[in-house]
Amino acid sequence: MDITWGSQLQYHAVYWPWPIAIYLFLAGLSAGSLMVAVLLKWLDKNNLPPWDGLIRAGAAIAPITIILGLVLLIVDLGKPLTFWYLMLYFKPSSVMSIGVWLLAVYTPFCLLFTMAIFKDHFFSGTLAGYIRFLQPVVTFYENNSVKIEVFLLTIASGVAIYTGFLLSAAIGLPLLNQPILPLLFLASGFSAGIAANIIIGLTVFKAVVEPKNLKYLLMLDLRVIPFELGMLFLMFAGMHFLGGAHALVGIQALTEGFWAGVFWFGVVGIGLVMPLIVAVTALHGHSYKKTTVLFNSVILLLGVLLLRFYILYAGQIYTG
Amino acid sequence: MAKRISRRNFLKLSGAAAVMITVPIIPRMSTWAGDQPLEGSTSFIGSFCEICTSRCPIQGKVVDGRSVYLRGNPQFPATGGTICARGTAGISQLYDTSRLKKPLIRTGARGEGKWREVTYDEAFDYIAQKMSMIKTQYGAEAMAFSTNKGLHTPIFYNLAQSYGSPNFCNHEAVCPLTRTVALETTFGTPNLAVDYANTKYLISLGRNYFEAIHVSQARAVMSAVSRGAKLVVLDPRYSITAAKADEWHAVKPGTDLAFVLALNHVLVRDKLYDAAFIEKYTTGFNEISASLTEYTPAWAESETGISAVDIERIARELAANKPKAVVDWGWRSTSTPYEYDLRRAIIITNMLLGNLEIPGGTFFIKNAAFLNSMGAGPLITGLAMPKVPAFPKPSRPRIDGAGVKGHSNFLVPPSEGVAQLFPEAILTEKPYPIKGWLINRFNPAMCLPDRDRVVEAFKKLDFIAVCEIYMSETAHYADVVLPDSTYLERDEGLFDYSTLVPQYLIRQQVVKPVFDTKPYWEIYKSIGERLGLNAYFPWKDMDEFRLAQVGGKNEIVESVKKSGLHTFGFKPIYLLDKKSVAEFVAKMPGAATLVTDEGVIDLPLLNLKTPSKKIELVSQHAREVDFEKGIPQYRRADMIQPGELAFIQGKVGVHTNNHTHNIPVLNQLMSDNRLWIHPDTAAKLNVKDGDTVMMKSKNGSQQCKVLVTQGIRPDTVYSYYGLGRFSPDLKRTYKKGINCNLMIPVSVAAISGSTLSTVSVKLEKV
Amino acid sequence: MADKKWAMVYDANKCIACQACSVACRVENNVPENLYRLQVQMEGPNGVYPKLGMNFHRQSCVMCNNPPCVPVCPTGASHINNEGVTLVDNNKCIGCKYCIVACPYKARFVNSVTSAADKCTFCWGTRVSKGQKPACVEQCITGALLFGDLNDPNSEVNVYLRNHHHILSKEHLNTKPKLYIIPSQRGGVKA
Repeated sequence: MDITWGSQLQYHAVYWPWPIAIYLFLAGLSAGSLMVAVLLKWLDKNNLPPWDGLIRAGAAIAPITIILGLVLLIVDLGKPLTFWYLMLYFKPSSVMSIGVWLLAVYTPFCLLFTMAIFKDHFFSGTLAGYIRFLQPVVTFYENNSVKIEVFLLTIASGVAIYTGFLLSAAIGLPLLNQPILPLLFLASGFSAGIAANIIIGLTVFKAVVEPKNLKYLLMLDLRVIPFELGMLFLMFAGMHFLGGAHALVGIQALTEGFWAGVFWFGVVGIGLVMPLIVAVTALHGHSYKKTTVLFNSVILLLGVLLLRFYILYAGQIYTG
Repeated sequence: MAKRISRRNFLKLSGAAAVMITVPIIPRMSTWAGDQPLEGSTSFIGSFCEICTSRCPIQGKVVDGRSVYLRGNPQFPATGGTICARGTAGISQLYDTSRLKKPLIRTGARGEGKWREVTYDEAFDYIAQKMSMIKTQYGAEAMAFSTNKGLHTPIFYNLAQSYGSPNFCNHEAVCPLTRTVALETTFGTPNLAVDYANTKYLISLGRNYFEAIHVSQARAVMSAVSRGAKLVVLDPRYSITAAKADEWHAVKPGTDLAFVLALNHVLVRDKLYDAAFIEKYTTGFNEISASLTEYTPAWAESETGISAVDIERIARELAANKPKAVVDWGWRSTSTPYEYDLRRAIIITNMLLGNLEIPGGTFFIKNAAFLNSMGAGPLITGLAMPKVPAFPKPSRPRIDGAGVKGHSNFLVPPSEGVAQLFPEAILTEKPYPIKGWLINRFNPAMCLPDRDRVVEAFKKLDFIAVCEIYMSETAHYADVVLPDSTYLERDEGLFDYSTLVPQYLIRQQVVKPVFDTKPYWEIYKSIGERLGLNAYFPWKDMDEFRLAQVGGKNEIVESVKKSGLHTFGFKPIYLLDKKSVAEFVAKMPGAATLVTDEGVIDLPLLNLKTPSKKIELVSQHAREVDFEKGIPQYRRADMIQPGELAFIQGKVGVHTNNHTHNIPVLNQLMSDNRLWIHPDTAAKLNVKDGDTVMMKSKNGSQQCKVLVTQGIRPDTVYSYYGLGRFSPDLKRTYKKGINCNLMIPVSVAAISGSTLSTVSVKLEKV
Repeated sequence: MADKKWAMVYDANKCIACQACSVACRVENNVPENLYRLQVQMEGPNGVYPKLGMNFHRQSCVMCNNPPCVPVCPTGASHINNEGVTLVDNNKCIGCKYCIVACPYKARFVNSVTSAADKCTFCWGTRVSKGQKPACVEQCITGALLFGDLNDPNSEVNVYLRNHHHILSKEHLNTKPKLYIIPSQRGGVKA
C-alpha cells in the first residue's frame, strides 16, 4: 500500500537521544568515582591527609561530572526553563522523580566530600570569604567521616542504580525493560569510576599516587569487568528465554544495524575484552608501564560510554 | 492592520475564548488557525464542499476571527454530518499561501513562469481585447471554453455561448461520459443512480467506493455490507473496496464486458430475469437475447480469467437477490475502447434483474423536472438559469462533433463535449483552427491524455486565460491567470442535489476572501460586460442570480440559506414500490390518478425520451450513429502489446484527482506514489521493493519507484492517479510521483467520446 | 451513579483508512504540522494472490485504564482523570519525555508548539466533557468509530462489544486499554 496517512517519523524517533546517554554515563561515572574514592580512603593508612592522588581524583571528578550531567538533562528538556518544577513534586511512582531527589541529596554531599578533600584549596584563597560558613560542616564531616562515608556510598550507589531503573519503566521496549539493568549500570559506573580516577590521578595528581592504591584499583577492575560480561550474557540469554518480543529484540539488538556493531566492537571489544586482556597480560605482576595503565583506563571508560549509548539507542530503536 | 499575534499567545487566547464560547448549546470546537485575521459568519452557514465533485453538504463558521470550523451538514442524513479528510482539509486550502493571490499577466515566454501582477480590471480588459480580436480575425468559433462540471459551469457556458462559440466543454470525457451516454441512449436521460443503502447484492466493476470517496455512497455501501449485503468486486488491483468485499476477482484489464455479457447470458438462458419487467417496460429483448448466445461463462473465463463456475454462481446469486441486486454501472468509464458496450451491457443486467425504481436497486433521479413531467399535481420549483436573450448561432459546428448530426460523436451531449479533441483541433487545425482557450477550474495539462501534446497545443495558441485557485500546470502556460476565490470564500447559486427526493443546496460565503481574489461569477460577468454581453448577465450579484434561478420564489432561497439544504418534504420516491408510492401520494394527492391497480406509478417509465418511449435494451439512437452499437458486443480490447503490461490508475481517499496535492495537510498525508507491480513482474526485472524502474509507453517514459505487492495482476501495473505535478510553483508537490497522462495516448471511444486510461507499457530496471 | 469510564470502539472492518478522523483531529486539537495524534495505517495486501487481505490499524492513544505513562511523570503533568481519560497538563509538563518513552503504543509525541508531551485526549476538554463525542468519532464517514461509557451497560460501545468479537492491543502488558478493536475479518494471512 502507498503511504496515505502521513509521516511516521514520530513513531521511530529516539526521544531520549545523546544528551541522555551522556548523562547516564556521567551520573554513573560520578557515583563510581565517589565510591572508589571512599573505598580507597577506607584502605589502611589512607584515611588521613595528605590524600592519595587517586582519592583526590575522585573528589574532583564526582561533582564536576554530576553537575555537567544535570546541565545536559536540563538542556534536553522540552521546556528547559521549567526544570525547577521537578523540585515542587515528589512522585514515588516515577523513577525520575526519585532520581531528582536522590541527586538533590547526592550533589551537596558530593561537594561536601570534595570540600573536605580539598579543604586547603577551598578555605584559603579568593573563594574562602564566601564559603566560610561551610567550614563547620566540613569539620562535622571530618569528625563523623565513617558514618557519612557509608551514607555517601549508599547514596552514590543509589544514583548509579536509579539510572538503570529509570529505563526499566519502558514496558514497551524489551531491551530497556530489563531487571538486570540497574546492577549492570552500577557495575559499569563503578568500573568507570576506577578508570577515571586512575586517569586523573596519574596525570593531574601524579605526584601523590601510591602504587599500592593503584594496584588495588586495578585488582578491583579485574573483578568488575568479568562481572559485567557475565551480566550482559545473563541479560541477553534471559531475553532469549523470555521469548516473544524479548527474544526478537534480543536478536535484533545483537545482529542488526549500526548499534549491533557498536555493541560488539565498542562495548564488548574495546570496553571489556581488550582491557581484560591488557590487564591479564601487560599489567600482571609488579611492573607496568604508566602509559599502558592509562591506555587501558581510557578504553574502559570509552566502553562504559558506549554501553550507555548502546542500551539507550538500541533500546529505543529495536522494538521487535 | 491588527497587531499580529504569535502562535503561542493565540493558543492561550483561544483557550480563554473557548471557556467563554462554551456557554451556548453549540460545543466549542477549537479549530485550526492560519496566520491572518478572518472575517465571516460566526454562526453556522450552510454550504457545500468543492474539494471534489461529490459536493457534500457542509456547514462552516469563523471562530475567534482567526480560524474556520467546518463540518458536514447534520441536516443531510446521507452523510450523517460527516465529511471526508479532503473536505475537512478545506481550510488548509483556504490558508494556503501558495494560492494565487493577484491577477497575473505573463511577461516572459509561455511556460517560462514570469509574471507581473495586475489589477482585475487590467486583466479583464486584456482578456476581452484578446477575445474580441480572435472573434474578428478568426470567428467566435476559434475561441474554446473549458471548465470542470459544477455549479459554475452554466455561468461559464453562458459566456461562451453569448460570445458565439460552440466550442465549450467540461472534463467529463476523462471520467463518466460513457456512463452518461449509455444511460441517455437507453433511458432518454442520464439522470439515474444506484440505491446502495438498501441493496442486498452489489457487484462493482472497478468502482472504488472506499478510495474514490463520495461520502454518502461510501456510507451507504458500508452500511449495506454491515447489514449483510454481499459485495463482489472486479478489479485488476486489490483496492480498499476489494479488501472490504466478500469476493474479489482480479479481472484482466479491459475484459469486464465479457463478464457482464456472460452474466446476462446466464440470466437469460436459465430464465432468471424479471420477465414481467422486461415485457412491460423495455424493448429489444429478443435481439439482446439472441446476441447473448455466444457469451457463455466458459468463453468469459478465457477472456477474463474469472472461472466459469464463479460466473454462473454470481449470476444465480444476483437473480436470487433480485430486485435488490445491482451491478453498478460505475463512475469513471474509460477502461477499454469498447466502453460504451460495457456500460450498456451493465444497464441491461440491471434491467434483467428488474431493479428499477425499487429500494435497493436503481432509480431515476427525482428532480423537479422529472416530478413535474409526471403530471402529478402542483409543480415543484425547478432551478433554471436566468432568462437571457437567444444566443447567437455559430456559423461553424463544434470541433468535437458533440451533438452534431452526422458526426461520430453525435450522441455526446454538447454540454459535456469531448475535451481531448480540443488540443487536437488546436494542433491539427481540423476541422478549423482554434486560436484561444479560456479555462476555468480545469487542468488539461494534467488531466487530458498525452500530456506533452497538451503542452504543445498550449504553446501554439494565440491566447490562453485561466481562472484557478493555484498556479496549476495549465495556469503555468497561460497568458493571463485570474485567481478564483475558494468555495469557502464565495456566494454562489442554488445547486440541484436531487436523488430519491428533490433537494437543493446552496453555496454561501463562510469567510471573506483571505487574499485579493474574486469569485468566478464576478470574473465572467466582468469579462462578458467588456465584450458587450451585458444582456446575458442580467443579474448584478448572487442574490439576484438565486432569485432568478427559482423564478422569483424567494421563500425557497430563504429556506436553503437558513439550513444549507432545501427539501420539499418527500420521503424517498420509488415508483415501483407500493409503500413508497403510497407515501408519495399522501404528500402529492394529485398523483393518485397515476397509481395503477398494482399500487405503483409507472407512467414515467412508459413515457421516456426514447424513440420507443420505453427502456431501449437495443438503443435505436446508437444504431443511428453506428448500427453495430445498438446491441452490446464483445471485441478484444487489444490495448496491450505482446509481452507488455497494462498500466491502470485509480483514485485515493486523501486526494482529488489533480487538484489537492499542494494543500499542506493533504500533501503531508500523501506526497508521493509508487508503481504497483506483482512479485513475478519484479522477478523478471530483477527489482525489489523500492527500486526504480523506467516505465515506457509509445507516448512517454518516466522513472517510477516500485511497490512490489501481491495486490496486482502479474500482467498489470498500477499507480494512484494525480501526482507527477509539474508546475514549479506547486513547491510542495513539484515533480513528486508518477504522472499518468504522460503515458497515455489520445483516443476517443466510439459513440461516447471518452478517453482511454489503460495503456500498454514496458518496464526496465534503472 | 458511578463515574463515567469513557471508551472507544474501532471497527477495523468498517474502517477504510480515509484519514477523515486524522484530519478532523488535527483541526480540532491544533495538532502541529507533520505530527499526528491520530493516524490510520494500512498493512498489506497480505496473503498470496489472489487470496488477499488488508489490515487496518488505528495508531493513537489506547486510553489505558492502567496507564504506564502516568506513574512515570515526575511532575504529575501526565494524569488520569476520574472519567478514565489520560491527559497532559501543559502547564506542569517540563518536556522530559519519560511518558513518551514509557508508552508501549507509541501514542505520544512532543508537540512542537507547546513543547509539552501530547497525545489523543478523546477530545475530553473541548467535547467529551461537554457531552459531545470526540471529533474523530463524529467525522468517521463509515461509522467505524463508536464512543461511550463502559459503566453504562446500554451505551453504544457496550452494545457493540457484546455483539462483536473484540481484542485489546498488547493486553499482556496489563495496561487495560479502553480502545477496543474489532479486528478485520479480511486481514489476510501474512505469508
